[in-house]
Amino acid sequence: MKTILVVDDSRVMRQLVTRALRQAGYDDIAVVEASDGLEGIGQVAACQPDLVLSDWNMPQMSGLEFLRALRRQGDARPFGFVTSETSEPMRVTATEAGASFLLGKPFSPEDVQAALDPVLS
Amino acid sequence: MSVVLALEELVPAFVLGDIVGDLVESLFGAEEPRPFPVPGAEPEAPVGASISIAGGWNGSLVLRVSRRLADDVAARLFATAPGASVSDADVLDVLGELVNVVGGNVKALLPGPNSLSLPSPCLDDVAPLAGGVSLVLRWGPETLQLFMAPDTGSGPTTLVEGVDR
Repeated sequence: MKTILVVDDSRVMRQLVTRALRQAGYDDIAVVEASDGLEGIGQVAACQPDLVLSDWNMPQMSGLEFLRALRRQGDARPFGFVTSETSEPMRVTATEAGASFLLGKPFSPEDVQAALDPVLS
Repeated sequence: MSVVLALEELVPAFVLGDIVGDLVESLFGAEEPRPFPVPGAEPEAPVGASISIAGGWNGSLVLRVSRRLADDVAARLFATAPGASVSDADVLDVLGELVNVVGGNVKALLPGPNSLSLPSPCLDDVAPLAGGVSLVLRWGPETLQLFMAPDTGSGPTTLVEGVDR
């Protein structure tokens, strides 16, 4: 069973991402959660997720800082942003930092599937 | 070439409405009635949230909704049992995320680079913004208001470089 770590400071958004994962057909995955990048680092170490889905704009440690911290540790696991901010400069920044994709909010289950299938297959 | 664009040209009210409509559909599916404009309506016992944008454009976005709508949206999103009340924390979470999603989408329409603040949700009324773009929507039986305005002193227009219109 694969594990996805969902990192967002909003509880409702973590719930919505999880719901969209199920609606997109990812029924056989375990979802673990964290409320910011700092907690996310701990969850990555504890749960070894196959994919990290992270918000960008969070207190304590932003999604970008979280991703960069993982890469500095030599952690190369797939990482995607789920964020309301999807400008082209942010896509470039995300890609350069090592993100696999940047999924915009609001999203549909189809959007989630299109973003995740290439990464999880 | 440089062009001076008013905020109303960069983010017309109908675009704000489209963003809200897409958000509502994402949250509750295509069966959910899409909010539609109703000029002049006021939310009852308003609560709200604000978020700031800074950089190429400096200003704020304010969301005002009735407490009843905020409670209803939170209860549906958290799948609260019928008759059970939602916590203030959950309502604040939902208000913050609503304004965050709208703010993030609006930010992409503005000349940048810009940064988005963390949202500031509030269980009291949030003062409407003057001097910018505003929109009043009817969502079911309830009212939702959005206000977007530049910071005081930054002027009502924005200089966009490299735009050929």
